[in-house]
Amino acid sequence: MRPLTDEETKVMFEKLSKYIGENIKLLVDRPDGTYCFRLHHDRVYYISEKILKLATNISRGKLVSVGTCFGKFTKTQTFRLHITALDFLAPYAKYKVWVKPGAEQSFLYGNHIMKSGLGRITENTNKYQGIVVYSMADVPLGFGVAAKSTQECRKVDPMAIVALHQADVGEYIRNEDTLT
Amino acid sequence: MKRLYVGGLSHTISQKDLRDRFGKFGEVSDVEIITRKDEHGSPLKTFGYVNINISDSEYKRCVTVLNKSKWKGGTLQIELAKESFLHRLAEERQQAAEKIQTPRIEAKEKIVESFKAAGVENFHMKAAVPGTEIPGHKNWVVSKFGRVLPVVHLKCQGKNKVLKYDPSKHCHNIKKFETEDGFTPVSKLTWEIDGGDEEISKRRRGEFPPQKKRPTETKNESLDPSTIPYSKTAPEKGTTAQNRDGALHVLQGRKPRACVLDSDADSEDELRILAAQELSQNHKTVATEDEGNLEVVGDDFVVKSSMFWGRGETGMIAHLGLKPPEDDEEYDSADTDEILTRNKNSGKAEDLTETGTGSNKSPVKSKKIDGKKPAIKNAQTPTESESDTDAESSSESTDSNYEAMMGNCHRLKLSLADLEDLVKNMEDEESGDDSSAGPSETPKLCSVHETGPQRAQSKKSGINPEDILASLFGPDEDKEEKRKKDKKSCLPAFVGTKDLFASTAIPTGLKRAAEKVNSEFGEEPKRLRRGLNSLEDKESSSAQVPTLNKKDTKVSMDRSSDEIEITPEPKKLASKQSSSLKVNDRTHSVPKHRKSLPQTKHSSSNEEEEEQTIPLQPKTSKAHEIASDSSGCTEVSEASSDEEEEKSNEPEVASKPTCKQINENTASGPKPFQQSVFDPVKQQQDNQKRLAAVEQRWREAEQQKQLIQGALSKVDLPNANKGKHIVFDSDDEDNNDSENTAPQKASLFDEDSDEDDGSGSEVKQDLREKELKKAGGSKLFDRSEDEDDGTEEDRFKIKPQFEGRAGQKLMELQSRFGADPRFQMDAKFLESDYDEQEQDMEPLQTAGEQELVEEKMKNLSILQSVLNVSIQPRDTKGKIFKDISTLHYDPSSETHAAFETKTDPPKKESKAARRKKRDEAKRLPEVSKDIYYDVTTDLKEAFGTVKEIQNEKKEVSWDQDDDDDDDDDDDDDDDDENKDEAPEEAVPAFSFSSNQEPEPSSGFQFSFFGNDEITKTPTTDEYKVETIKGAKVPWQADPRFQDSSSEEEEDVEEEKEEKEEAALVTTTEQPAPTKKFFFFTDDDIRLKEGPSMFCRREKLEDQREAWEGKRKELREEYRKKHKDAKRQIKMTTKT
Repeated sequence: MRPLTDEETKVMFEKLSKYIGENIKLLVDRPDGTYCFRLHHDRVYYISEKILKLATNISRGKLVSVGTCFGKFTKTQTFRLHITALDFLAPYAKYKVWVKPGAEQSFLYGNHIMKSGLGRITENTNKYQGIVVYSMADVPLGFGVAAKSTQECRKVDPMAIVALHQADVGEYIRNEDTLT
Repeated sequence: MKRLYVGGLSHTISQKDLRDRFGKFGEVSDVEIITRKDEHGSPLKTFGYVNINISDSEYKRCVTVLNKSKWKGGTLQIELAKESFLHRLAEERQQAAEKIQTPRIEAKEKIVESFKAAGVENFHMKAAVPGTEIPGHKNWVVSKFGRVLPVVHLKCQGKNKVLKYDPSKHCHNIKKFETEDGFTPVSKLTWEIDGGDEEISKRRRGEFPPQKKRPTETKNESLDPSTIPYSKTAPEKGTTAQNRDGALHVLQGRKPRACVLDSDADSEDELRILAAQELSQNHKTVATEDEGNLEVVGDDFVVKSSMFWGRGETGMIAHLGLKPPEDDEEYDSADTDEILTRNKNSGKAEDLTETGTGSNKSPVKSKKIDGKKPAIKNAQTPTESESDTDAESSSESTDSNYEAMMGNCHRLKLSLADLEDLVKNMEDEESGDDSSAGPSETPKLCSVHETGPQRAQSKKSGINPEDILASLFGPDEDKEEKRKKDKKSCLPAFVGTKDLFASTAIPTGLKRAAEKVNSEFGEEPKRLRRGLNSLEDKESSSAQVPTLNKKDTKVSMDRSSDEIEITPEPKKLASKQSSSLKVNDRTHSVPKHRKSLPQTKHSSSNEEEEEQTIPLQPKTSKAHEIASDSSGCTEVSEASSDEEEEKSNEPEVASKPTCKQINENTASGPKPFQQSVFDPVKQQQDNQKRLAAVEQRWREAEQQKQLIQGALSKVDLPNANKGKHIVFDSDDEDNNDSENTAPQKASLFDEDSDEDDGSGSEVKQDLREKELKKAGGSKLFDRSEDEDDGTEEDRFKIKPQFEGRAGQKLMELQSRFGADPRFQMDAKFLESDYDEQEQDMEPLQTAGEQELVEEKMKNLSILQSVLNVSIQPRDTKGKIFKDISTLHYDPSSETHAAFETKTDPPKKESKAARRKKRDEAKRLPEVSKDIYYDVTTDLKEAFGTVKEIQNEKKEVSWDQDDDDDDDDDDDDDDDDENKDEAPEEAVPAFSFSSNQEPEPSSGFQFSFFGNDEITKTPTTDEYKVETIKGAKVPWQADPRFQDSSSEEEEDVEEEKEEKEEAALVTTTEQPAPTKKFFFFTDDDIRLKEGPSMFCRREKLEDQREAWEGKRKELREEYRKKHKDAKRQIKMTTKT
């Protein structure tokens, strides 16, 4: 477990900023305690300082997970967000997409969101902007990328994909073994 | 007439050529030449049509001759052409016209005629069997009623079959219409609903209000077929367009910022309109869900508080007010729910307020009744006091159980008529009541016995209906409802009381009543308690009038703890009812003490023995009121829950005061009584058993609790000594319990035997004993409870020495050493190493967190670079984390005062301020009394040079008075005008001042001689200023003013000179005496010089001459100036 290098931090922040923008600051500079990012087995964990201290007692090989896993660095050194980061993305998300109850399940099975399932969308959402997906009851379901801008969403036909799926809470079941 | 096509013509050919050429074969009527040209205008191909009157032989000859013949550079090609379309059209028209002219009726007439020949009249053939063919008409058949109908051949759709429909074969289907006059015309078949002008009825009638915006929907449906599948996907789209339109409107009204995408067919105009709406109404976006609509929300869209971690549904319900409905029905239902709850709440609130007022008024009323009491004392008192106490008890009970009870049965009401009926029914019974109560009313000591029946009465009947009516018609209207309720609940029990009184007319009946009470207390715990209260109240009122009121107030004060008391009520009743039993319930003691307070009070008047308890009781009761909040509450609830688990059919179990229970009470009211009449002994035994069971249960609970307590206390304290203490304590408590229980059980049996004996006198004594014991028992418990409470309260209090950070450490230290006072650690122990620890802690923290802080800063800087936004690290200490979603305005917190909009106070202030300002504006600006002179020239120079001239000048100044007078006269002559007062006034003043002033140059000497000079000099100054201004102001063109101004100017000039002179004079006057005092001394130089100033130093003639000479100059100068000024004014007016 080690702190992230500058390069890694930059890559990760760039990725995160697609979803929550400058709200990353609120993650880094938290008023309720010191929190930090740690790299462990190519995965980035967001840990409270207290837990970090406790985690020092566990050897590197045995430590499976500590804090909240935000995602992992691939072999090509790109950062990939995991669904476990949703808890921290959802409150700070800038662009949101609400799916209709009928389309919820489809999304939770890993499918993209089509126009017909789109219930509500934040205005001024750009194309390929990172979005957090909510159910109509405002329960965060996952996140993805807007395939169409808000203006385009108005015009496309109902079966067109408006949001690309990246992660959903269904992964907690589907990828139970790999999620840490 | 033929039309020939002639192709292959040369481009230069003319119509005439063609005409000549074809004229040989026939008469050419018309020639038409058509030339095809390319884009440049050069002809490609030329052909023509020739209308020619030609015979067939001639045509053949023409073709053979001319076809493929070369003519004028082109090979002719001749064919027969189709008729010109104009021709054709004309022909068609002609034909159509002809057709119209030829009447079609002919065919019909033909048929009719032919039919006539066949014997058919008016399509009717008489005396013909259906199915017979009309002779001569193959396709006409005779059908039913002799009607002649055609056989129809129908071609099947899509098939080549031809169906033959023979009407005669289906003639049974045909019915003949009765030709009656009773036909209702079609226009009258429709009916109308007279619904008035309401929206719905209008719509029902088919009148819709003019719709403002329909274009979207119509467009969508008419233009864009692609929307149809989309709309089909959404169920709501199945509804009419109008519906959707309405939805759209609603949406727009609801959430101005979110724009609705119906589908792809949104035109640009609409979008623009929507955008405009968004802009104009800059509200917060409210979420709306419309099935078919995509919604776009702003950045500031607030996700509902239920947003995270899926409390979805419940949260949604809570937020229904905000949240728009999924469909209308849902919304409606939710709405009604809301309304219902609101109604309920309001109803509750009303009731509460009512009871509040009632309880407040009750003491007053009781007083009133008490006042009446001595007069009527004998027969009337029972009923009176009863009503009184009932009112109180009802108020109390309603207070205590109110929320639970009234929440459910607030619709319980009786009409006046019902009450009257009841009164009528009860009148005969009441006579019995009075007779029974009357004799039992004995002097004060017997009041205890009285209470027996009364208690029963109150328990059973609650209230006499008459009383209710009286109170209804009486002035006290607040209790109306309460009484109604009471009455309702007590109605069935009324019969019981009658029976009761019939059986308990003799004093021994008391016992029976008690029995019955015992049997009943299970069913009616609450009312029993009420009865008990009423009993006490009555006793106190009969014995001590003033205490009653006191008690009332106390009761109202106790209301807060009433809720806790609700649950133990049945038990308390049990202990009260079979007070000889003296059940050892600690939970009971909580409410009991409260009760014991009034009890002891009343008993003190009766029996002196108990007086000693009085000082103790109030204290304990108070303590319990406090304790009941913290500790007693849990106990009671535990006990009650235990009870509820019991399946022993004990109605006490249902200790919660619900509406159900009330119903139960009303229902079971008479029943237990009958039971008790038949089987009192058995009931008694049952009750005892129940009580025992309850006791047992309670004790178990208590033990469990203690066990848990002990275990918990052990957990925190590592010391072994502690454990011992706890063990010892618990032993002690157990002993106490057993001790307490033993005598009580004995007394229980005593009571039993007493009751078996059933003699009146004994019962009396027993009752007294009961009370005594009750008091004693309660006293006993009071002590133990009191101690407990004390310790418990102390236990949870933060002691002052443990407060703060140092205190925490001290506590840790102490906990290590146990509770032994010998080894208790003082603050002294802490002081020694406290500072060191602090210092040690600091560097440790910094060392550990330094890296993290650095990392954080680094992260922030990276973030900054990533986002290209300046990010400031937050003040670590300043801000406290706030969850914005839970942020609410809290009027109590001072910081939230910033959210308040203050309107009134500043306004008022501003008003006052405005008035002030106005006043100030009205007031003239204050002119300070001090006058300052700036000395521009160097003083030294002034002193040096002026010395020689002094004398002359002084003389001049000395003449001035006279001269001025003269001058004024002259002025009058010259300017033929009344002199202004001011200059005159000013001049002497100045001269005077100049005379008196020793040194004006130094600036402050004016004050030497009082205010006169000071006030005058500024006026002159002002004048100067005004006049100078006035010369330039155009409205002063009036000659008078000008004159005056000139005059003033003159004067002013003079004054100026004089001033200078005076200044010089003064300077010369005091060269030597450097020291000058404000006050005059005896041999002051000034005193000596002063008188000389009043005398002329030169002769008057000389002075005059000098003045004359000077005056001319001055006058001319001034006139010139005056003219100039006039000219200037004229100029300005002209321009």
